Amino acid sequence: MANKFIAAPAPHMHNPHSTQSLMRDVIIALLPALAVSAWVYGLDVLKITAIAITSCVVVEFLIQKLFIGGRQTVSNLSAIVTGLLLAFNLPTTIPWWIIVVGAVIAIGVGKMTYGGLGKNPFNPALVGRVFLLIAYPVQMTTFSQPTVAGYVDAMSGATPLASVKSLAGDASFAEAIGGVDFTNMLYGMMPGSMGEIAALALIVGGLYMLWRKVITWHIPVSILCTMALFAFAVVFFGGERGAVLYEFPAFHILAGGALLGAIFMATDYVTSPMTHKGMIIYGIGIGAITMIIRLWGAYPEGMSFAILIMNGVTPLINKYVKPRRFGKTSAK
Amino acid sequence: MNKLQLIWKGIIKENPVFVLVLGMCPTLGTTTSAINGLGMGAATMAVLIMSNLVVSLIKNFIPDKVRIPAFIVVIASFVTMIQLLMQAYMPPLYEALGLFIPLIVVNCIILGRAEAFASKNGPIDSMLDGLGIGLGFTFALTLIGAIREILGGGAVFGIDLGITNYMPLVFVLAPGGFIVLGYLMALFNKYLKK
Amino acid sequence: MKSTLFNMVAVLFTITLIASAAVGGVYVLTEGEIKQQEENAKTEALKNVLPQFDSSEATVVALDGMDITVNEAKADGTIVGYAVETRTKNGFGGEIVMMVGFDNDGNVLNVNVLKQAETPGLGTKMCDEDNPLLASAKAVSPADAAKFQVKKDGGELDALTAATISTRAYYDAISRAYRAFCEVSGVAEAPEVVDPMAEAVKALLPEAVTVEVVELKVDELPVKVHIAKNDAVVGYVVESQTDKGYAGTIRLAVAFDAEANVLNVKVAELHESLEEAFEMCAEENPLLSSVKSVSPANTEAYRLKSDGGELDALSGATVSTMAYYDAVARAYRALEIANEGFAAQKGGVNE
Repeated sequence: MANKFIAAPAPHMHNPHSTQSLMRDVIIALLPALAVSAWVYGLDVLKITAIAITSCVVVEFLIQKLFIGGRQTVSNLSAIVTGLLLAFNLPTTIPWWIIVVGAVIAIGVGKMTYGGLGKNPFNPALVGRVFLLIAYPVQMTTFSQPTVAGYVDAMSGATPLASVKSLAGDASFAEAIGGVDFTNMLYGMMPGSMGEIAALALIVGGLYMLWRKVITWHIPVSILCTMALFAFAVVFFGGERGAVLYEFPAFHILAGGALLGAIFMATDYVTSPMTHKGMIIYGIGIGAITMIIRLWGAYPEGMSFAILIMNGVTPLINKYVKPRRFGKTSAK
Repeated sequence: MNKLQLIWKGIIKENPVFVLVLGMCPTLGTTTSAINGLGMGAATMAVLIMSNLVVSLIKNFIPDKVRIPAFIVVIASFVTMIQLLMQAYMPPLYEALGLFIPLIVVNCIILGRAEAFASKNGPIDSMLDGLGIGLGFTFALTLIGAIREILGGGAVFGIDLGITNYMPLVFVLAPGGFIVLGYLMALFNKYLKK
Repeated sequence: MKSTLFNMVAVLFTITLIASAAVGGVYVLTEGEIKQQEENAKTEALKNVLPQFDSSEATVVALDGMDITVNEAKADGTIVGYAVETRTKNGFGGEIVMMVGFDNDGNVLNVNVLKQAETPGLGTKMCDEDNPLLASAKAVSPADAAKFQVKKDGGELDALTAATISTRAYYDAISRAYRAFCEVSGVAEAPEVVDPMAEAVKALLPEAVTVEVVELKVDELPVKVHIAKNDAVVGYVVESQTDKGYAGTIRLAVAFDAEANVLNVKVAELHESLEEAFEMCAEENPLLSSVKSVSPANTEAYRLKSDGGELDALSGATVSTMAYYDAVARAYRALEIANEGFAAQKGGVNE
């Protein structure tokens, strides 16, 4: 009953966005990357996306109906966004039933257990992805090669990050990334999860969201700058496997889920800090943790773990980095 | 209080894991399979019954100021004995539980019951309380262990259900322990704690 | 009860006395049984990897700074096999300890992983009853160091999916066990680590009175030219390499006749990740026949067919193919540099 009378104290600001319109913009922003992925990997991409979205929507509908009750929330499109993002985090070789398990975990454990959208502390799609990664390590790291014409001789089973990681001994950085050059990485011609490969398309989606004022620049920029500076410092001070100074930062930003995570996952409203200052702290945390996991951790990619960890820190950031109250002068 | 109620209370209303939320370290650490959960629960229960009995017997001779050290010595002795017996007669279980057996000493359930119950009640009631709480702990650990074993490894009590390849491995790892514990705790408190 | 110094000391003393007596009693009671169990566990570990035996004797060998225990197992006084407790530090999660059983000839009978901390579901597959690593280790003798390597590194051993580091560590521990076995049993010589390039050069070099070696750099990569001479030049073998492979360096030895025509090519080092690329190692393969028929000097023809040239490619491994041709071309250029004026002697081909 309490929800019927929402009476926040004045002043009230008017804002043209509704949850539904925001989610619609996020979906539109994700489409270019989806299109590139379908071009690079073939139509399987669309099939996987369809299965992921359908299962997320169905799971949300059923949980709302059976356990929570009340008004259905499926129409706010957030389940579709979760499904899309979940699909973006899967390799194209994934069996269909793993996608369904992922959807149950993402929506069921990641979101509805806490009471639905707005109450979940962690990004649901990432909860699903990380769960699957630990649960089905083989299936989740079997990447297929791009099938698009003009791309040849892909490695099966190793993303550029994984190749760098699994190198024995003293092989050089250039040897590790082998045939994947930066142009290929920009266009998405490398093995990886469906949605993370197309750097250029993800950036276009990000710019669209900036233009539509769905996100602000603070989180993506602070994450990517932190990663670049971190990589730069590692090469500058440590000479990481003879990588050329400018190459290493660029490689880390283009490889793996860095752009997908920074632009689409970390900026989730519910699980990121509210103030701009908080967002920057949050972004620096994600960037640094990602690089630490990538360089010294057990997994080749650390973006999703980093975002989840910083999701957990978000309430703390919100508590200590508060916006200044109206009418209050700075305490001297 | 009725004797049976005394036991029942330990299993449901004051279940050490799901309601009192005590002994989380062995709960999460040893429940990778139903057998391990059962073994850990049984070992803890044995220590709990014996220590409750001894503490209630000697409670009148112990000066208040050295109460806690006296209890700890009693508990630690029983744990060491259980450890030696397990090593001699149940080596596989001893291997599987490893460090968690000596850690029974610092399981807060045991000292908690000695302090809260056995030091104020007679020997029979104390043993029954130990039995009830011990059964509650064993029940919780076996249940968590069984669920994790089924979900993570497609087997239960070591019997392969033939679905291993489809099961999410994460449940036998630490994150799975937290997830299962969380959901069981929620269900328990919603439906059983009435 | 009210606490006084006397009763506190007295009570604690009594309690500890009784408690230690009780613990001591249980210890005495279980001591024999625990010893027995430990003994059983040890023989059990040996039994797992060895045929029937009745006595065993342990020798400790220090290899690479690690203690390796070799158990010599006997039945009725004759040696039936060796169980080696070996270890490696190269595991993904740190040290791996394994018991490896050898028969008297040094063939692997069985392997039992005693301790590991690999990634669950990936590296831990090495503990399974029938896993590809165990099957490979039984099929390929560790005596042949060149073959006893992961396929990816040019050997004949299978790997675990997505667990390359664990796989390499597993085989590393077995190789070490084999070396310890050799040392203790004296049955075989511990294998020398063979240099596949030296082998390849030896196989390709024609009979000659003198062999002259010229070392030079072509495009910043070191290349070695072996010139076989009697009175005149009989032939050349060039150790060439390329960094354009999909997974790094490819090294190969190219044999030329005195007129600088390609006679044969042997691949000495290859890391490519696709099975398709390994076809270039075969005795007969489209790449080899292409370089035999098209001289690298003929820049018009020395291109992939898809680029309008005459060279064949391995289907599905274009990058590896290009790397192969790159290495052969580099060998040819090294020959030109080493043998100045060569083109002039030949007359015309290399305009």
